Amino acid sequence: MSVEAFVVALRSALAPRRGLVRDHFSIAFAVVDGAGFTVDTRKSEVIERRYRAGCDLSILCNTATLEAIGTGAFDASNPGTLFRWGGDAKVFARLRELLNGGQSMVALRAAR
Amino acid sequence: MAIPFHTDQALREALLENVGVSRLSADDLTYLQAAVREPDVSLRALNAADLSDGERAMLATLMLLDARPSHAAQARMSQNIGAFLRGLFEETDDIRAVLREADFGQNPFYGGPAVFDVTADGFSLEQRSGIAIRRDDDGALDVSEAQGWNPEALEATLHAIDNAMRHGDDPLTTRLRGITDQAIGTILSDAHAALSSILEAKQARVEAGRVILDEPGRLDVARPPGEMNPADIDALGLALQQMSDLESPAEPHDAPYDVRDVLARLGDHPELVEQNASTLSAALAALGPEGKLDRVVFEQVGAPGTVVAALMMLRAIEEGLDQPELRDHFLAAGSAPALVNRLVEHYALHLVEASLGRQLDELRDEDPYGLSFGADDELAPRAISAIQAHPADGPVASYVFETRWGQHEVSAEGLKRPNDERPIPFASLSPQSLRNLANILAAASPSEDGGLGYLRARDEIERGGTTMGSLLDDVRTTLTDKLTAAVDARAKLAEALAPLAKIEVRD
Repeated sequence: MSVEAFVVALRSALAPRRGLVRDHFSIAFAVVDGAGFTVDTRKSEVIERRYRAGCDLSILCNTATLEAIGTGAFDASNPGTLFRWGGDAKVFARLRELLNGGQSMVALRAAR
Repeated sequence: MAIPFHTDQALREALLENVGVSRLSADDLTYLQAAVREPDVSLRALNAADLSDGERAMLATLMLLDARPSHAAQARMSQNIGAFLRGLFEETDDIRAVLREADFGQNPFYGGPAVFDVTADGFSLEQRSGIAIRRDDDGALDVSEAQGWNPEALEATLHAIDNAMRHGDDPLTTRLRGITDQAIGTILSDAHAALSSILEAKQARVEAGRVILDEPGRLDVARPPGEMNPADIDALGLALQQMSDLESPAEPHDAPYDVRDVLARLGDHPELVEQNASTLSAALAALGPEGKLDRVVFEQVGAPGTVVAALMMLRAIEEGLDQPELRDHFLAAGSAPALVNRLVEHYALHLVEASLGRQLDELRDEDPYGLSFGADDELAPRAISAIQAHPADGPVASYVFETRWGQHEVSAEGLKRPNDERPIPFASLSPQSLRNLANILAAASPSEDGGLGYLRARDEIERGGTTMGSLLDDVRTTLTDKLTAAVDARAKLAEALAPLAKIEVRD
């Protein structure tokens, strides 16, 4: 899975639920071997294809780790895993809440 | 990108099938069809300024279809992100899990509680579960069951009692209460007070838990692994972003992050440098050919405090750390910043050497002044339409000749091309140009061009204080000097690099 696949999956999952967000948050992904991107629920375009500093949560990772997350094979002890984070840890929970309980991305339209 | 969307219907069906997009405008279809048929569609195309956000999103989706996962795989992808986040915290960020569920209790009510069947000894709250609050044999109000209720259930019960008490204020209820038993009002008031007390105690624990959770380190709450200073991630993230921006060299860029700052931040995370430099440096490959890398960095030589240079260092780090003996060597030399400094030094030298190597290549292979005549005709005198001494009468000051690019004039001062205001000194000409020029002048010999007798030319040149021999000597001297200087410089750099010779920098 490429970074683009991850981004599209995430955008497709988040965009339709953006209206449900009460406590907005922003997450910046620095992908060392791919393009960085920023998730910001305040924006109509939930994902911006640029790294943005000063977000609520910053994540440093690589494509292999994103792929592992997407395929359910994430293992922090894997030597190929690069997952560093900093900022407000509660944002993880908010993202989780936003993703929980929704329909799968198959049923979601690509965000336009 | 091979997506077999050759008809509107095929494209619609593919979009509907793969991403659930069923409605597309005619313009969307036109654009997308053109895009998917274009073999060079890439991420760069996605970032084209003339694309709307929607178009970008659609194109990104289409690109995914190239290796399109099955519906089930996509569904798993979405679910796995959620599972990943749950796994990160193992639910321990939930205050109820941290402070034990029993501290907060359960909601025993199937629906909302309501007060009914009020007597002097108690009242019911829900008929289905038989929940009631009553006085015990000693006359004390038994609220032990309510101790196990959560704050939401307690608040709902208090609200129900409030309602009952307000209803008790209406004239009829007041009259009945006065007639039957004043204790009915008392039991409600007592229950309200007791339940309020329980609720306050629970809320106090909730608040205490929040305070604890808000203070990092006060409670051993499992947090996702790999926490680091977000400013450090920002520095690296912006560095990577800048590197990505630099893929378009024509675009201006800012370099707000000093390399020393980035390196210092990395120095705070030696394990990050050591374990993940390879993944960090993998991003450098995105910069493209080595020449572009060097060009970019070479432009930064005067301003070494750029993030690009920092990323170059990261690559050097990776190359060094991939060799255990070198890693040990550098690590033995000191801390991670010391390691970085050594590699900075090494890599800077490498860049200079690479630059000189390119200059040498240019000296040998390139002809920046357009005096080559192609592989077959190179140096061929016939490429010159005419060559004449100037002035025609009197001492010769220069020679004028025609090429397909126009009229050139060569004199003791150098070569003046068609659009030059002043002659280019021979020292500035490339070796190839000088060789060509020498051949052009040689064409003035009697055997090649009867129009200008070599002997006459020699005499004219000598009379004019300039000889053809000196011109040719200038050519050779300039060429030799340049080559010698470059080779000497390379040798000196190689000597300087000797202590680091074990490092093999990939070209």
